[in-house]
Amino acid sequence: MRFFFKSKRFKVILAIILILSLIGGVTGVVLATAPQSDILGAIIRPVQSAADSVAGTVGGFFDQMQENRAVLDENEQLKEQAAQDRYKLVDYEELQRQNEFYKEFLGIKEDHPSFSFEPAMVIARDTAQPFGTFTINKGSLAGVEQYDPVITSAGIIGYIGQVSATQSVVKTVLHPDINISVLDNRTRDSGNLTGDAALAQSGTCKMIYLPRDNAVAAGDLIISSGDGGVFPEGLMVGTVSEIKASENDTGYYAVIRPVEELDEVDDVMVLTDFEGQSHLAE
Amino acid sequence: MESKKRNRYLLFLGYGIMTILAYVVQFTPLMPCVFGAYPTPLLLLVIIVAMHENDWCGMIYGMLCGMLTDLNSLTPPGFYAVLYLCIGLICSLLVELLVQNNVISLLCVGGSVLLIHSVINCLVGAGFSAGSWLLYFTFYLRCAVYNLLALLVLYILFKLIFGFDIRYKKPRGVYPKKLLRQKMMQTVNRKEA
Repeated sequence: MRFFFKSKRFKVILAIILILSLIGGVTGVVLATAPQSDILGAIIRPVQSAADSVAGTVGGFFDQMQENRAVLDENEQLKEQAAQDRYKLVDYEELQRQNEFYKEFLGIKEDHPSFSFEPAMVIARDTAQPFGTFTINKGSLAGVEQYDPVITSAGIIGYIGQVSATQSVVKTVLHPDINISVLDNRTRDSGNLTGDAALAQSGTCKMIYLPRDNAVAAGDLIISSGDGGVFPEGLMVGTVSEIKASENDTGYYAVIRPVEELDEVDDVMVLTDFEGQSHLAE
Repeated sequence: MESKKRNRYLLFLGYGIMTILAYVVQFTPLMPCVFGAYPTPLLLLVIIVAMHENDWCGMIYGMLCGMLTDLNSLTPPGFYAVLYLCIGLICSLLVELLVQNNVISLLCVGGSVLLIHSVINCLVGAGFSAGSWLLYFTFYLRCAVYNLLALLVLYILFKLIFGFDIRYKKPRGVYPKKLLRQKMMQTVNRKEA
């Protein structure tokens, strides 16, 4: 041990310690930083940063995985929620549409308390004929009978031409076979509304048997007169487009535009019963 | 033999699917309306299937398609069933006895059938009124022309789906024996050649 304290190596080490302490003490008092720390820090910092970055990355990777799993779960939940909301929205829109549809009929029901309605939906259209014939999703099981009037909130559009258990085919006002007793709402001139082969493609029909001294004018509203008992009284059928002289007799006929574009009708009501109805099917 | 039978079942399944598609297209107007005319895919299928099948198949397929058409039309019940049954039978017999199954025959047979169908449709729908003729030219004839073009497209599609060599016609003994023998001789000669 004594040998060590007397050796040159000990003296060198002691000198280094003394010098470092002296430098540290002086600079610590004067500069408040130790230059050896700066030097060491300058060497260590990049390594430390790299290590920290690697540690951060590795740690972050596992954190990220956990977070990803949570985000995925949350995403799934949100997707489910969005799907449910979408369904709810569709239901809501459907309900709103139905509500509007029924609200429109409320006025008719208030004006004619004897009416019994059966709501129906158009499920098919016969495009092989130009008369706007369509099929609805209600048949005899729902109480629908042949010759029952088919209406929308705007007015009459036809009657049940054929009925089966679960569906019915509607003969529209454009069909040449139809015959509705109608009158002009303004002048009370009466006539018969029927379809015409020549007019069907333009989506119009005609009011025939108008007397020569009629006062019907373009724009007049045509309503059902209720004669015959197939259609109730006072429902709109269409508006007058023009008046023409008949080719077959000395009378006149009016070209009528129906209350609805028949190609665009989606929801209808079948009048299964009303006051004064004659049950032709029976 | 068994694979032939299985192919036959697959073919009928294909016919079934095509029929449902045609029904949907015809009655929920999905096909484009050209100059106010719509196609009648069920009738077109009857013509094509009848041209590829024997008379019984053509008849029964025509009747089934006619029954589907009857569901949504105002004609007396069974009207289109009988009409399409006749169309199926006639198309099948024509290809069996008189013409070959190719595009030219298709245009001749299909064109004639569509023309007759349009006249019958006009008489049933519009009747004999003064405006019927006008309506015939402005609607029914247009439909017939549109259908003829659609028939050509459908025929090519049919051939692409079911193959160009399908033909299952077999003489059923309903034809005169002499005619049948001639037909068989023709087939044998063709095969030898």
